[in-house]
Amino acid sequence: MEVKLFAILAEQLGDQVHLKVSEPITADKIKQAMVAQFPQTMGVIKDSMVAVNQTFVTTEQFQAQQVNEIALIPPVSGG
Amino acid sequence: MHYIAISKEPLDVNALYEKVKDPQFGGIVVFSGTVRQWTGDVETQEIEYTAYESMAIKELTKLAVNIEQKGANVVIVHRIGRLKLADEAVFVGVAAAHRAEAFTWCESLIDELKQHVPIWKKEFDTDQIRWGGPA
Repeated sequence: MEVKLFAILAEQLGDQVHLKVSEPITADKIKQAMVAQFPQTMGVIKDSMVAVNQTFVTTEQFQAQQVNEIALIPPVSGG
Repeated sequence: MHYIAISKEPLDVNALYEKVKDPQFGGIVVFSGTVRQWTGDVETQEIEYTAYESMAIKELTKLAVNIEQKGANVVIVHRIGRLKLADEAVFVGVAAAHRAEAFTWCESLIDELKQHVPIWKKEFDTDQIRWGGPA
């Protein structure tokens, strides 16, 4: 599935990457798939959040059909 | 009624202040965050802000609605793009019945924004480029 990237992750890898994640989809699985495919992002991913359908998720589980949009959110720094 | 935006254009602070005003509410507190030149020994030249815009709008709207339900009018606008020293990066305005709530709610809104809303800064300092600014 396509995963949107932002900030330092987007700078390193572009605006999105394709990751293989098995159902049920969870934040941990997405982060693990990201680190497996792009080990250089481990440090940032450790501190990143995951958003599914533009909402932060932690332990929630999703089937692929429920997911319109996944994003990895590195530590934010607005304001 | 809240006004929330992510702006590529410079923030018109006076116009945003006018949006906060409401005859129901007698106390207005405005926080405006600007680009600071010095952070300790680190000198900043410019900051570039980016956002996950659609999600940032959603998150900011949630924050605003939560405060407005208590009795307030909320305006939050964050700038994106390349900012120079002293440019406004963010405007948070709260109009409430009295000053105590307005101060409290304005502070909690900017605190929440800085902790959770998907906006990022890339700081161009004289010694190096820093995502998120000096640690």
